[in-house]
Amino acid sequence: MKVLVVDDSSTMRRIISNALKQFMPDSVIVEAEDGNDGFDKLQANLDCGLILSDWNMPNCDGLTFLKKVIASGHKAPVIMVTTEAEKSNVVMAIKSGAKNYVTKPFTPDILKAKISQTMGF
Amino acid sequence: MGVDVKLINPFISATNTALEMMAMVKPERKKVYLKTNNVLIGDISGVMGLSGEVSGSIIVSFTAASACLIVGNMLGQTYTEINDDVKDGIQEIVNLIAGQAKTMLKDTEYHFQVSIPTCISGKGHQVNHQKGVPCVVAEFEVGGHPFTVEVSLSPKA
Repeated sequence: MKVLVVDDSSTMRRIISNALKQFMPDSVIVEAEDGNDGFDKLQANLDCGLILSDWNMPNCDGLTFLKKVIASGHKAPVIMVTTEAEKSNVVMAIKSGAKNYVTKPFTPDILKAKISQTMGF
Repeated sequence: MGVDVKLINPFISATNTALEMMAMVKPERKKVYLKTNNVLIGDISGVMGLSGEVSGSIIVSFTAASACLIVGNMLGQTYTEINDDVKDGIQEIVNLIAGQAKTMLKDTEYHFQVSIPTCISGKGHQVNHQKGVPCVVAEFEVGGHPFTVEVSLSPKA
């Protein structure tokens, strides 16, 4: 499965990619460094089956990116992976179309559990 | 003026959680004190402005050894000097600490909004916090290498 990872931190993109390779060894990771880049990469990779997105990013934040993905009709589930842990933000993201929510910091096991819960495997 | 534990304790807790979960290291906390100069202990510092109903900043300052150890653990790599990977990693650590502390301070007068972190490196570098606002420093060690978390935050009048 192709997975789009959107985060302005190359460190966080690598941490997420390393974790994904552990429990989804056949996954192909597409990286993007903000919401604009993420949407461009999604248009170029319409077969993405899962999107993991940060919230606080320059140029285009994760919530704006999420709304653009939903508006585009793309069916890949979006999981927010963010330090924004306040309940009001979680609710806002879910109401905007996010399928799940991972709060940073996280362990690989937490990420795996949220992805499994979202994808049904 | 003394140290406001209501302000610094969430940052201490967030530092422990972030490094234990993301870098698999257990920081050892040392002193907590009010800062009286602009000198940072480290060779590299992550900086984030804090805004909203407050104004201020957080600076997490690392020696080269502590930065390389922590970022190396986060990425499963070995670093012996500060490079672009280490700089990016330090920015993310500030982001992780500030993000958690923000949630813990939500219902207090210190509730703040985060911003995009930056990184400054170089021997003897200095960063000024906001003038007239007390700065609380929490010293830590990982693997015998020091780092500090500095928080300067003032509710708006």
